[in-house]
Amino acid sequence: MKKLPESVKTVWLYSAIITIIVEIIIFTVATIGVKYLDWKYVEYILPVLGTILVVWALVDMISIPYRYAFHQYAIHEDRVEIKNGFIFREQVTVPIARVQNVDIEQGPILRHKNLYKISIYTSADSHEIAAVTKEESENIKTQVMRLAMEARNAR
Amino acid sequence: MQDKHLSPLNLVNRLQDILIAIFLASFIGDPLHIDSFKLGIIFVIITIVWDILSYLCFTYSIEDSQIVIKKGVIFKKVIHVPFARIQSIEHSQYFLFRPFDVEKLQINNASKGSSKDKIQLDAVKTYVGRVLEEKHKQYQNQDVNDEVEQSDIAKIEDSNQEEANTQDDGYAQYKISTKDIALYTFTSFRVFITMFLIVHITHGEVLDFAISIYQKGFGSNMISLIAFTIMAIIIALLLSFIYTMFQFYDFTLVKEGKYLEYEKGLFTRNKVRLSTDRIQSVLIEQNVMGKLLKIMTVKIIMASDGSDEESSQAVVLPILNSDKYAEMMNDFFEWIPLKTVEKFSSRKRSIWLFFRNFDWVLFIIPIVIYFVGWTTLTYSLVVIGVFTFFYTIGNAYFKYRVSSIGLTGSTKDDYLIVSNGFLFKQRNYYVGWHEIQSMHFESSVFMKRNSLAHIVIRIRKGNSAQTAGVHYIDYDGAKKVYDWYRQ
Repeated sequence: MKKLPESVKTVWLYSAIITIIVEIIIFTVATIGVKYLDWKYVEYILPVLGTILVVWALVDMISIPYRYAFHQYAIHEDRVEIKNGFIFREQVTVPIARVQNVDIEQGPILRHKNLYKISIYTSADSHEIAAVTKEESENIKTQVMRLAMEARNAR
Repeated sequence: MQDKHLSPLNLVNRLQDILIAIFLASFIGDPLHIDSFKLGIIFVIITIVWDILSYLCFTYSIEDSQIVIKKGVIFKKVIHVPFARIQSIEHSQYFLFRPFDVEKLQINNASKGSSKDKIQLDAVKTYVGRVLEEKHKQYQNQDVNDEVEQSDIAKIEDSNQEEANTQDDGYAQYKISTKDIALYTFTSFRVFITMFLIVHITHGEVLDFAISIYQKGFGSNMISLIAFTIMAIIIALLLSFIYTMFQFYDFTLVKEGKYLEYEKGLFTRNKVRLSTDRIQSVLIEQNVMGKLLKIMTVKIIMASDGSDEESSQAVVLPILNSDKYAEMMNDFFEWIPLKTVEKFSSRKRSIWLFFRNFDWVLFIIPIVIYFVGWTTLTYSLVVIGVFTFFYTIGNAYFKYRVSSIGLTGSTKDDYLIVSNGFLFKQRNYYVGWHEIQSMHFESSVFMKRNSLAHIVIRIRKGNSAQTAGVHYIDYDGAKKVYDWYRQ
């Protein structure tokens, strides 16, 4: 089982901070806006909801090292395995023969750290590896696609 | 056959466009201060011209190895579908078209696109359908032959299988009887769902109407209220029966060698023929009523280009008696091994867990009451809360009783049997190793401490995914199933 590159922690940290800031802005503005509208209960609902979401994002931020420790992947001859989650642990297996295509994506924060996100598609669903380095992403793509072709032809 | 047009009857299909045009004109005419009548005429002319143009621009050619469709008035589009890629062909014939021998064909090639890209021949002579079926069959067999050439061992095995197939040609037929249709209607809860939907769509006007009739005709004492309710339910059941009758009129399921074919419907006759290895999963459904009467419904889940229930999940045996279960399954789905070698059920603790996972929501009710105070709203909230409480207890117990996961063996050719329940309906999925797109093994820290785990699989259904899972089963059992999949 391989771990993600160390720098993904920074990526997650940035995105958590951005989420928290955006949430605080949205809910502050909304709460102030609602004050003028005289909706009786919405006044309470918004700050409560906002607090819950911000706390959730904070938990996300604090749990980064743990999530990092548990997010792992492995590419075998016949299957891809991804492990995920710190409290709610999940393992996924996708046989290579079921893989339809592999997408490599990059958002702005990932680009900053020169990392790529990988999505592996079957004909029914998709599975993500949150971040890998550039060469690793190319490796995974070629390896998975080659194996997928072989596996399909063998059947 | 080169660049053929559809049957001119296709223009009949498009008559609805004219209605839409008229409706649209009346809708936007008034606010724009334009005479809706004149606007309507212009719209209708545009629609007719457009429909004729798109009819003229739509052609199809059946070539040696593929079907080519050209369409589009302004943006031309050419679609190539190799016969080897076709999953199944759906035929449906509207009863008015029957004298003309014209039907609609939908070609499923299981690409994962939007439903806009559906490959459909809206009105063609039935012989086109037969030609396509023939080609489809031929290419599917060729596929098999190619595989045989690849390895000698496989060749021997395959020829053995073929021999076995010819010995017992695997022919089976099932025809529905009126009694079965009635049973199918009355044991499903669809009537009540439909009633609810009608009330919902009409904003309760139907209900008001019924109440006004009731008050005029019966006065208002308890007995007449009950009688009236029973009558309403009987009428709803009858309507539902008639509707099901139209849908399942002369339902026939035929199994011929490697092919399964079903046909049904009175006004629109639907026919689908598909190779059994295109079936993603066999699903057996049984609700509480079905459990009491020992009957179940068998469906097949297919990969298709449509997301609607009709083309992604077809009812193949609407009513199946438990005592005939093994026999019928053997006749129609002989490739599915019925004996379960290993089976892991939900643990008793799961009753509490299923209950908890939903019922924490009920804590909102006291909070709301605390803030809002005691009004008529809170009164109905409490009623709903109490009802939900008891309902979910029952549901949790039902889920615990039916949840299990089983294996028919330990090789890749074996089947996984996922059984779960929701809203008092048990669902049994038979899925082969090759049809499982991915398997999730989930166990949170707390679950692991109690040695519990979930197994969730994804299978292809229509043009998206169907999730099937069992929750709160033994950790070691789940691990065994997961290891079976990882082999």
